[in-house]
Amino acid sequence: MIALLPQTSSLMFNMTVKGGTSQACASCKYQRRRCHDDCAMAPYFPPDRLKQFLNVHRLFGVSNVQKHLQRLHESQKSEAMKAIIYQANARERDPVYGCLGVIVRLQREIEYTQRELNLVKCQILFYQQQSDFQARKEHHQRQQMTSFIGESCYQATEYGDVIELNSNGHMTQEYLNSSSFQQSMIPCEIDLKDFNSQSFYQATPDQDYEDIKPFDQFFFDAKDDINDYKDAYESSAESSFKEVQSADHVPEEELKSLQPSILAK
Amino acid sequence: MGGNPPCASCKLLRRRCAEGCIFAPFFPADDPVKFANVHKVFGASNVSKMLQDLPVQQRADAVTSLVYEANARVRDPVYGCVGAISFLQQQIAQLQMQLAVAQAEILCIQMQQESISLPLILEDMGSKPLVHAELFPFANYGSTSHAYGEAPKRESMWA
Repeated sequence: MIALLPQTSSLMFNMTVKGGTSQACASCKYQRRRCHDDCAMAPYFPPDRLKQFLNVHRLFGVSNVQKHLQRLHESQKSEAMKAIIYQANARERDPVYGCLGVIVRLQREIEYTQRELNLVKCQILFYQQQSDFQARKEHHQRQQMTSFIGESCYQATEYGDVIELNSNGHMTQEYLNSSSFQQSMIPCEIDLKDFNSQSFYQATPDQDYEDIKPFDQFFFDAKDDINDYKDAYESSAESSFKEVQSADHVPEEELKSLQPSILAK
Repeated sequence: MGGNPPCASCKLLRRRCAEGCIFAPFFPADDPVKFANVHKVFGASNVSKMLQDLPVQQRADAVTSLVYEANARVRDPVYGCVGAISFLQQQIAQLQMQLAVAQAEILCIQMQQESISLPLILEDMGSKPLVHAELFPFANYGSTSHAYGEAPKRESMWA
């Protein structure tokens, strides 16, 4: 005689229905029938999935689901049941629209996300165009005031002369030797109207060239440049040069006369 | 023996189409396939019970969704309309990824622009014009005494 404790009685019920120690599936439990080992619903509706089974049963009906599964291949049954359970749960959540409501909501989300993506892409395009425009503007401005690599460019001064610059931005040797440079004797003035109206050189014809240090650096790049400069400024430079020369060649006798006590031995 | 012609459901089920037939407004006789699919997938009794549980004004929409799901299940016996849901969810995931990438790109561009505009801001504030000094070492700026002391640099002119 088995003691009829509450736990035992339920166990007895299960044992009676299943014929073993395992519980009946949710389908057989609902239908109050014996759950055989080859129960078609058992793999998809374990005992703890009663609510899911009820949803499926309400929408499709057990017989319809079984007929449907019979038409499918064994490998497809599991996937088909997952889709059926999903569809039934969606219908339970939304009795009017079911899965169609989910589809419509997803389509709206796609439209919204696509619109947002298009907006962001437009912004990126705008920024790229902005930076391209800025780069082209700076390039154009550089072109106007200096030369390109390996090429000479010609820059007009405000006095109407045209000077030739080499790739380093310095006056070419040809220009330094030219008569136009000899005659002009003015520093290279590059008027940068494009750069806030500031020019590199503020030199005027009256200004002393020695004060313009960048000008010196600009010209005296090579030793030959110094000689050319000497030729160009002949009057003042030569005289100072002669003075230096004479100072270097003071006769020895004169030196001796100045300090006889030291020099005489 | 006059009377309304039977609706598609009653014709398929071979029964008399009563006056208050619940299917009659939604399944006219000229479209038998519509009800046939619904009956095949869900069953007439299940559809009838579902429609009865809903208010009258919502029944038309419910029938529309049921017809859609039934047709999808007939077209795709394994996944039905859930296949379309899965496809749409993948599309959303891809779009969201693209959106995240694009938004990150915008952030980078904005950060770059802020770093470029910083020297120009300093110039406006009265400090030495870093950009111009680098580009033009011969510039006769009163405040930039360092420009005079520097030898002309090839690289800086093209900075």
